[in-house]
Order: sequence, then C-alpha cells, then structure tokens
Amino acid sequence: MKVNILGAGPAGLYLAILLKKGDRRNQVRVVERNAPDATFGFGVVFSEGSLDELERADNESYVAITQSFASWNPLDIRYRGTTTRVRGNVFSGIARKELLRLLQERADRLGVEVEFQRDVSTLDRLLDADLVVGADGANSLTRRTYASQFAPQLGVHPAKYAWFGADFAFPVFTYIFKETRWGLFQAHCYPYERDRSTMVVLISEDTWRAAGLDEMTEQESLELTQEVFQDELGAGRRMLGNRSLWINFPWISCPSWHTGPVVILGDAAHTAHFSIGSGTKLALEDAIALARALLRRPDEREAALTEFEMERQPVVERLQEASRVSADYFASVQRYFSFEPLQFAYQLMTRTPRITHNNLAARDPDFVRRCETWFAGGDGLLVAAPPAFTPLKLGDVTLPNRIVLTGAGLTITPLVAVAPEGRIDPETPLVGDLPPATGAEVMVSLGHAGARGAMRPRRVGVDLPLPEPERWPLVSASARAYAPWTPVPSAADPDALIEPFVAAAKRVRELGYRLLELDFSRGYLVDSFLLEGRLDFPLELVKAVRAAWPEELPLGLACASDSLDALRAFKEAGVDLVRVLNGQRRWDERTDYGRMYGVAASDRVRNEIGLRTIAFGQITTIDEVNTILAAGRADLCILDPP
Amino acid sequence: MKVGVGLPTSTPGHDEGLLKAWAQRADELGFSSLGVVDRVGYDCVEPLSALTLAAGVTQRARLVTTILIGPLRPTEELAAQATALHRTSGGRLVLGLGIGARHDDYQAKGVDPSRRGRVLAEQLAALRIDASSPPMLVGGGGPAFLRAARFADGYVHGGGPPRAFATAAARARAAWCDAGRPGRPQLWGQGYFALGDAARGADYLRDYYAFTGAFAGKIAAANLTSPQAVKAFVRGYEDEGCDELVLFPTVSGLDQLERLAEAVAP
Repeated sequence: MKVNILGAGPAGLYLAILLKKGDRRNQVRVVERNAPDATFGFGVVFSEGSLDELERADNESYVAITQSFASWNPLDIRYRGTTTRVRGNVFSGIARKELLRLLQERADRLGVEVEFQRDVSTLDRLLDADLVVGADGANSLTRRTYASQFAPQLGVHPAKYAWFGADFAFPVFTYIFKETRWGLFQAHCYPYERDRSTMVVLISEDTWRAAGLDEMTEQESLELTQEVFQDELGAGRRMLGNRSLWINFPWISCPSWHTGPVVILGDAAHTAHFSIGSGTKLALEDAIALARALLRRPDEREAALTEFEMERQPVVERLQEASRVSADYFASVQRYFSFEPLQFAYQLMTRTPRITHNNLAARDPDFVRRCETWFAGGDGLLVAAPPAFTPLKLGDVTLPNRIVLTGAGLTITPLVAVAPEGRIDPETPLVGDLPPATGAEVMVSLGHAGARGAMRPRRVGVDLPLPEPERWPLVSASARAYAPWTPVPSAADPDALIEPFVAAAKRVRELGYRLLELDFSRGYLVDSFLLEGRLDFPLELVKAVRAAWPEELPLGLACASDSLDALRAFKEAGVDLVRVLNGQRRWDERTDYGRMYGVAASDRVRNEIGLRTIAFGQITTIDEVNTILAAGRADLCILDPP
Repeated sequence: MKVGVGLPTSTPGHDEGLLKAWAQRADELGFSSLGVVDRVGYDCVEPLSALTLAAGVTQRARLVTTILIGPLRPTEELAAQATALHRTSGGRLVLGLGIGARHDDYQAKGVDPSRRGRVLAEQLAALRIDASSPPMLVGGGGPAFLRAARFADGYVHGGGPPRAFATAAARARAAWCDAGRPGRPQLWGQGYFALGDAARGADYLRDYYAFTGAFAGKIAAANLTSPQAVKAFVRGYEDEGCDELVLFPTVSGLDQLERLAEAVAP
C-alpha cells in the first residue's frame, strides 16, 4: 500500500510508524511544511489516565515517550490567595519538540520517508497513492480542499487564549485564577521538563481589550502577562513566548472523515478544547485505530476507513461534548467567585459530567471527606454523611435530606389549581381536595393552567383538548392559544387572579402544610405574563402571597431560568427557593434531554442570583445528586431513578 | 423484550407473493410484530398497504410502522386508513409516526418541509383524541422525544448499536417525565440483518441510504450478518431496556426469516 501523509505532527508521524511497522511493504511518505526542529507551543499534556493503547500499539515509541515524561499526580488550584491541592489526577507532560523528535527517530528507523520544508499549497502531488492522509492540523488544507465532502462544522469559542512557557517547572499541574483591574486572567500551567512549563492563559474578549492586548506587540503582551502572574511565578522567574498570539479556540467537527482515498484525523477532523487536555491523545488514538483498520483490511480501503470512523467518532464526540462543557465552565467561572476555596476546587474538578463525586472520592478520598464535612457545616467534624443526606434548613423547616422524591426528603405535589378553571385536566386537584398535612414534608405547588387548561388526563397525553362540551373557559395573559391545536383563551384580568392564589395559600397553611410553591413555569397562566415581558402581575402575586404566608416558612417558585431580572425581583419580594423548570413554555420550545440536562439552569439561577434552587432533569443516581450539591449547582435535586 | 421482524417491502426482488408468505411464516415462527418503513422515492410497497396484506394472512403478530412519514399524508386519510386497519386486524396496529429523514420525499409529495414539525404535531393531536385510533409511537431525534411524550405511547429509535439506543431511550424517558406522563414510555428499537448473503445486504443498504452520503457505509457495515452478531445485538438492546426490537431484512428470501428465527431462539 502506498500512503502519503500530509503533516509530520504527532498524528501523522505515529500513523506512519504504525503502518510501516505493521507491514514493511507499505510505502509511507510524510510531507511537512516546517523544518524538523521547528515547533510551536511548549509542552503537551496527557490528562487521561491510561496510555495502555500506546503501549500496545508500539512499545518502542511508548517507552521512549514515557521515559521523557514529567508526570505528577496532585493538582493545585490557586484562587483568591489560597491554594487547594487535589490528588489522584494522573497527568503527564512532554515537550512537543521532544515528542516529535522521538517519533521522527522511530519513523526514520522503520524506513518512513519524511520530507520537511516542503511547502504544500495543493494536494495534487500527493494524490498518486492508495491512501492520502490529512494529518495537517486544525487549519487542515486537506479538509479545506474537500470541504464539500467533509462538510465541516466550524465555530470559535468567544474567549481569547495564548500559549506561553515559563522558565521553571511548576511543581504540579496548577490552575491560577488572577483578578486584575482589567478582568480575570486564568492560567493552566504544567511542567514538561526539569526547568520548563507550559502556561495556557485564558481571558475574556472584554479583558483582552481592557488590557490593551488587542493593540500590543507579541513582546508587550508577554511582558504584561508576566506582570499579571509575577506573584505565582515567583521573583526572578520569567514567562516565555513563541508565536504566543491571542486567538479564539476553533471548534471543528466533521460528520465524515473520509472521501474516496482521502482521510483526515486528529485536529484536522475534530478539535477538543485544551482545558480537558486531550487533543494529542485523541490524535494518537486516531492513528492507532486507522492503522489497525487498514492493516486488518489492506485490500478493502473503503471498509477500513468506515471501520475507523465507526470506532472513533463516538469516542471523539463524547470528548468534544465534555470539552465544550469545560470551555464554558472556564468562560463563566467568575460566577463561583463567592465560593469557599474547597467548594471552588470541587466545582472545577467536576465541571464536566465525566467526573462525579464517586470518581473524585476514588482519586482523593481525603479531599472528598473534607468537602463533605464542610458541606455538612461542621468545622470540628471528621466525617459527615454525603451531601445528598445532609439536612437543609429553609426558614423554620428542616428537610432531613436533599432528595426530592416521594418518601425521601421532600415531596412536591403536582400542580394544585387555585380555581376550577385553572385545572390542567378534570383530574387536577383543587386546594379543597388536599388532605391535611401529615408529618412528611410536602411542598404544595399552587398554580393555574391558563391556556394549557381543559385538557385530557395525562395518561392519554399532554395538551390534548377535552371534547368541546366538557371544556371550561380558559384565560391567559392574552387571547393566544398555547398550541395550534388547542383552544383560544380569553385575556385575563390580572387583578382578579391574585385573590384566588392568596386564599389558596391561606387554606394550604390551615391544612398544616409548611412549604408552598407558586407555579410560574411551563407556559401556564403566570408564565404567559412573563413570556410577554409583563412582570407586574407575577410580582404583585408573589408579594400578596408572601404577605399571606407565614414569614418563617419558605416560599418557593417553579420558574424558568430565562429571565434573571425577573428572578432577582422575585427574590427581593421574598421568594426563598426556585425549582428551575425550563421547557414547554411554548408548545414548540426544544429541550435537549441529555443527562442532568436541567442542572446548568439551576446553577445559573443559584449562583447568578443567589437563590436556593431545586434541580430537575435526568438526575438518576445518588452519585449525581452528591456531585450537583457539593459543587454548589443546586440545594435539592429531583431524583428520577431509571 | 419482544422481537419482531420487518417485512421485505423495499429489498430488491420483493413482491406481493413473498410479502404474504413472509408475514404468514413470521407469524407462525412467533415473531411478536411485523414492521414496515416508509420511503417515497424508492421502490417500496406503501407501508399501510403492506400491513393490510399482512393482516389478512396473520392472526397474532402486531403490525407496526417504524415509522410512517406522517406529514406526507393528509390527516383525515391517514386516520381513516389506520382506524380501518386497526379494526380489521383485531386491534393489532401500532402506528409509529415521524417526520422522516429526507427532504425529497416532501418535494415528491408537494409538501413544504419547513412546516413538517408543526404538521406532524397537529396530526398526532388529531389522531390521539380519536378514541378509535391505534396505539401510537413517535420516532426521530431532538423534538421527537417531547413529541412522543406529548402525543404517543412510546418512542421508536431509528437504529444503531445498543449504546446509541440507550442514549435515545434515556432522553425519551426524561421527556416523558418532563411532560408529566405517568409510568414509562414504550421503547422500540430496530436493526438490519442479512444471514447468509452479507454482500447483497450491504449493497442494498448502501443504495437505500445513498442519500445520507458517507453514513450509508456505516449503516451497511453495522448490518448483522451472523447469528452471533444477531444474538449480541438482541442481548444489548434487552440490557438497555428496550421493550420491542424489530429486525429488518436486507435480502429478500424466506430462508432469511428461518435463519433469523433460529438466531433469536432462546
């Protein structure tokens, strides 16, 4: 097989090595624009624990690479003048130049032809082969040449970042969060040689402009950045530049990675944000999968390339998704700057759903023990129950644990209508149907279905209108139907709607309940006002109910996270707790029902507004509940066991 | 988990004789359901006609569309056909609806594809409030999960490895819970097989899915071509909580059905 590879980065060289090693008859040629020793960036990091695949694929290069590794297990989080150390995270760093040198040597010994300093502006001269490989990075000529076949989806992350070095080895992987007069500077630092570290620095576009970095030369930008981090670097230590330009991270994904004899891999096919440190590992694993498929099916190129894609695409997609979450976390990290250092560190560690409470406890049991005792509020405690089983005090009410589920810490009733015309369907309970409260903590959710009323019972479906004779008249903020197939309501008189809520709240109290929620979600009556930007009535309603509901008892809301201004106003008016419910506000609103899908919205409300929140949305395990609570993303979780 | 089988309505060389014989034999062999797919621009028997033929020669198996492209059909006509088939088959129809994957199907029928989500929603609402309608499923991704929870009895996944089914099933359950439906949605899966003639099966899949570009090769590569592969696939779906899995032929011929029955036998 004759193979031409464009790009002598880790992916291209490693593929060449594996193809030549697997079958000496393969003619493998690698073409590279730069000189052998020209490299940009400093060290690369492998943050994923296991490199077993590399060991199996080519033991010789594995040994050479891992012998050059700087490896460490703790990481430090430097935030607000404190340093929090978390152990058990295996990272390895290596100079990019050294990694390439080792791969070049190995390729050379195996008889791979590598041509450096060949300026390739078209693929024409590479096409005389059985296979043409684009290992040519994020700006791939190969991908751009066959753009209509690869159909890449391209985007950029809004934050700015630049690669720098430092003239000493940070003792361990270190995250630095540094507030400056221009805004937040973050650095992700890792050692890769005895006296060298990589520092990836992240800032927002606003900070970039405020600091004047948009108009500085490379040298000026280096000096300013070094000044920002001088305390963390230590006196006399310097940052280093090497084409250290401020850029936006490019998102690249392609539905297909091959067309005819041309295949792309690594950054050319897909990027994963550097903050999860997996780009190089992904590229090397791509090369392993591609080489394996080609060696297994030397005479069936199309089948081999399909097999390669089928193996790698699901893995890459999961990592890309995690890296998007990670990138968004670092972009909005200031939301958590009121957190205690311990919780801040916990939040950082669990920023993507790949790391949960249990994973963290396996890595650093002592760190998790300290988080748990801190969460339980006991400075003198040595151990405490996990966050899910920590009581929560809301006014005069103390819930025994943080799990919302019938029979657990808290039960929330389905919508209880404040008036017969506010029922969702004929089976919706009215306040008069409520039994007197018993011991268990039950939160009564009062609402009015508005335009989503007079429907068939939910065992049949949702938003299915009752037959005409059985319907009752509907009211909503204005005379607009909820969905094209549902009846048109009449415009409500807001003043007339407050009294039924107040009367219902009083009745709920008389029945002995101590927890009350008003349902402002889902396009129901009150939400129909919020959807029209009419805050007056909902706010009056909150004030009136708050005045009628005992001060020492908590008042909750079920509400979407869309309008933080409205939520801020509700908090001022005395709301204590929000069950964050997005979706279904309009009939055709889309919800992405992925794992823990509602937690980001709960996090936003809790940490932007400072309200206690209940998270909802495919939370299926106690481990997930613990993670959400300890990371400060919610105060209670609705558990939906699978 | 129950296992059903697809009818050969679009595999090369299909005809009415084979269709009837296949349906009858599948019913005897104990397959729980007979499935059909829907495509306009392909040599393929109209799905409800195929199920009507099958209903006439079977007693027991349920008759399921996985899926029928609802917006391509006027709602009244679809409702009348479905209700009639459900009644004449003794209540055996399960009507799976979706928007389909192809714009050219819409062009062929002169239906505006940009409104298909809304048209399907209105259609599902109309079918659902008619008491004589059959049980219903919704297929698709994205908005389909809430659509299934709002209007149907369950969700039917479009195909893929058990892991892909599991991800979709979790979303279907989450949407069900989000919509406030009691209980759990029915979860259906589908797969392709060719037992004994892998090359022809792959050719058919590449041709049938040519409109998906490079994806066609992946679908063809995932075809179940050995009894072991069928068994592993069935077990995988069962483990992920699938209620009923329908396996579709990619090669015409009754021997395929016999081999499948053997492969899935306990």
